[in-house]
Amino acid sequence: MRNPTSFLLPVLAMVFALAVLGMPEVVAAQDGCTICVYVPQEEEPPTPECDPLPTGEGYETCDVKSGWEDCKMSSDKPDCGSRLALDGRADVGSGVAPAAVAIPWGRQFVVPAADTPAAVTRRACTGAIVQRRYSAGSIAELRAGLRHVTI
Amino acid sequence: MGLSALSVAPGVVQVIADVTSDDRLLVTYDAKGDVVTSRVVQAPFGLVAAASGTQVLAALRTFETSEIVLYAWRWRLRASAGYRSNPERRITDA
Repeated sequence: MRNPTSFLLPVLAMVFALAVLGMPEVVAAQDGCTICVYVPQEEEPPTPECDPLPTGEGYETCDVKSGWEDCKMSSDKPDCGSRLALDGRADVGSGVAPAAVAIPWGRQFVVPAADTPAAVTRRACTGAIVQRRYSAGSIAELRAGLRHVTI
Repeated sequence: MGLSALSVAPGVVQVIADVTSDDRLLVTYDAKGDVVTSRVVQAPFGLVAAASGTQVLAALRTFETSEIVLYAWRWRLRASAGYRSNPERRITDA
C-alpha cells in the first residue's frame, strides 16, 4: 500500500507553488498586516472611463466600488473571500486586501490595488474583476464533461 | 499561463490556462518535446501533479469551490482505422 503522504505532499507543494506564481507584487505592509492596501475612505472611486467590463451569460461584473466592498466581506462571499483565503496572505476580515489575487487555474480577481483612484480605474479597465459564476446545473455539467478527457 | 508539464510516459502532458476565461489547452508532447495532440477544454481545470510510479494525475478544478480530483490516465489507440500506431492519451476521473 502506497503511503498517501508521499503523494499528497507533492500535490500540496504544487498547489502552493502555483498560488505563489499567480501572485502579483506586494504593495505595502502597515499596522502589522502582511499586506495592506487602503482604499480612500471619503472619496468615491471614479467610474472607469473605458470599455465596459465584459458581460454575458454566467458572468457577473462588478465595478470598482462594489468589487472592493465585496472583498471586505470575506466569509459570506465565497467568490471573493475564498480566493483571498486561498492565497493565504490576506486578512480580509480586518478590512485589508492584497493588491491582487490571480489564481492561475481558475478565475482571477483583482481588488483595488493602489491608493489612487487613477490606479484603481486602470485596474478596473483591465476587466480582471470579472468573475465566472456557475449555477448548480452548470457545475454538474462541467463535472460530467470532465469525467473523461481525451486529449 | 502554462502549468506544470507532467509525465505520461513516454510523453508529457501540460495544461495551458487562459486565466481570464475557462479555456484550458491540454497539450501532449512526445519524448522529444514535439506536440503530439492538443485539445481545448472549457472548464476551470488544471493538471497539477503526477504520482510517480502510477498512472495517476491530480487535477485542481475550481467551480464554486476548489476540488482536487485524481485522474487515471492510459494510452488508447485511435478509433480511426489505418492509423492505429498513433495513440491518444485518455485521462479518466478516478
